[in-house]
Amino acid sequence: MVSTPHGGRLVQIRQSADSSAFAGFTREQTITIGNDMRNLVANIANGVFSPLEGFMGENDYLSVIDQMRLENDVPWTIPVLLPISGKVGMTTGDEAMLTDQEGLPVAVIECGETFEISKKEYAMKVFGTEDEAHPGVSKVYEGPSKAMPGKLKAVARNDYGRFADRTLSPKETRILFSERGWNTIVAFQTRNAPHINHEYLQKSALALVDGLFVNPVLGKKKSGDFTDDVILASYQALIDNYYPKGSVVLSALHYEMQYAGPKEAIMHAIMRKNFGCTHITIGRDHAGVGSYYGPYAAQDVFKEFPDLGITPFFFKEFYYCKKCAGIATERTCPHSEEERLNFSGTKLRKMFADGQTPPKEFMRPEVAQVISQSKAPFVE
Amino acid sequence: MIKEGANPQSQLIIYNWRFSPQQLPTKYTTVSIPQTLHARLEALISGKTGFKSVSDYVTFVLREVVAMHETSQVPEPFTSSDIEVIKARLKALGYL
Repeated sequence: MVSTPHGGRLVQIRQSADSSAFAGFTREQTITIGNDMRNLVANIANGVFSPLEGFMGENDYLSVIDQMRLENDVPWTIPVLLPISGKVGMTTGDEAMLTDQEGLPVAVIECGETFEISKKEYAMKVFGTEDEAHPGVSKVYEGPSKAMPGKLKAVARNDYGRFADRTLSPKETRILFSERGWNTIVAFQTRNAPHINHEYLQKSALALVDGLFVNPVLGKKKSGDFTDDVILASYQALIDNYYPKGSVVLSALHYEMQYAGPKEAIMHAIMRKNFGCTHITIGRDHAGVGSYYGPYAAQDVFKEFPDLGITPFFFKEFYYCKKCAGIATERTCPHSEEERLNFSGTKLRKMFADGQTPPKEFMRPEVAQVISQSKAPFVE
Repeated sequence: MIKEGANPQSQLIIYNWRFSPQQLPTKYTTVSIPQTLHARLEALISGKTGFKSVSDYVTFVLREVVAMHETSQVPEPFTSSDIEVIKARLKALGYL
């Protein structure tokens, strides 16, 4: 049986067929949002962020940053906010329309009382640092210092635009898992094209469950990351060539990475629980960036949540060991780091730019071919 | 058996993550447990389990138990007509 939705209910705010729901809003009652926020609205509407039905109010916000739980005690580690700049005309109970950059309706929300955010407090409590070099912290510092609570009343669009045919909602994955007869499903979070070490981690987990859910994050990323097209195409190549037929579901997650390390690992688990997964893999430096978090801090944090409702599989880092002549981890291999085959992101990018491909011990040739054939495999 | 009541010895303290160690819970209440059980729990957690207090331990265990019971009461989040529509889409996309 697939996992129970987080908080006990899969939120479903269906796309409204009634266009009048989005008419009659004045300029003052309209809030323009960017593409990442539009995806966030779709995620809330489709239940990816269940049990949230909209953007958080102040009580939930404070509870999340202080206690890592919603006000009703349900585990939650990163606030989901609608940042607001300038003067706000709406008051509690008013309705406001969210539009995209072209002015097209996205959703109607019921407004709550706007509240102030202390950016430094947010940074420290969510990211564990106030360092502006941290991409999550810098985004908070650049953004507004007010937030508007807002329950979604109607959504004009609950799709994600690009990669629609490679994006499943939680309702769809739950039915898919059930149709495949899977009772235990392990989620794999990624923002990368797959290396051999990712494949071994996935297969180690897959050996223990019925199915693997590969759920790459698409959306805004750091410079030097793989592009969305390359991530999806390279995973498809890997699955087609190296996994038993019917053992994997590949579906995109449209979500902006926060790089919040341990706190984001919990959010990754919650989202995958809503997709129906019973397990999630947590490897080395999950959702981390730079050296802000300990290599296994994202595993330690799970000890705080006996009621999370999804079981983590913890793994040490996988690598190819030249002496072992195979894939190993520090728990299975006694050799020094010098024996490990590894490439930094910079070296990998240079290799592809020079028309070279990594050795097959590091990356499957079919995956390398997808990257080589892409005109721009990396985010500028 | 745990009962509602006011027993300062068994005050529940909510667990804190290391990013905000100075934070104290904003909302909490008390429950009463037999002193004998309290003593057993105190002995159980002393020194090695990572729980700072009996309250920490009780909170942890109760959350685990409550989640287990809540899970068993959740109905399927879709209707039979939903299922047919979704299965058709999944087939069209090659997932089924």
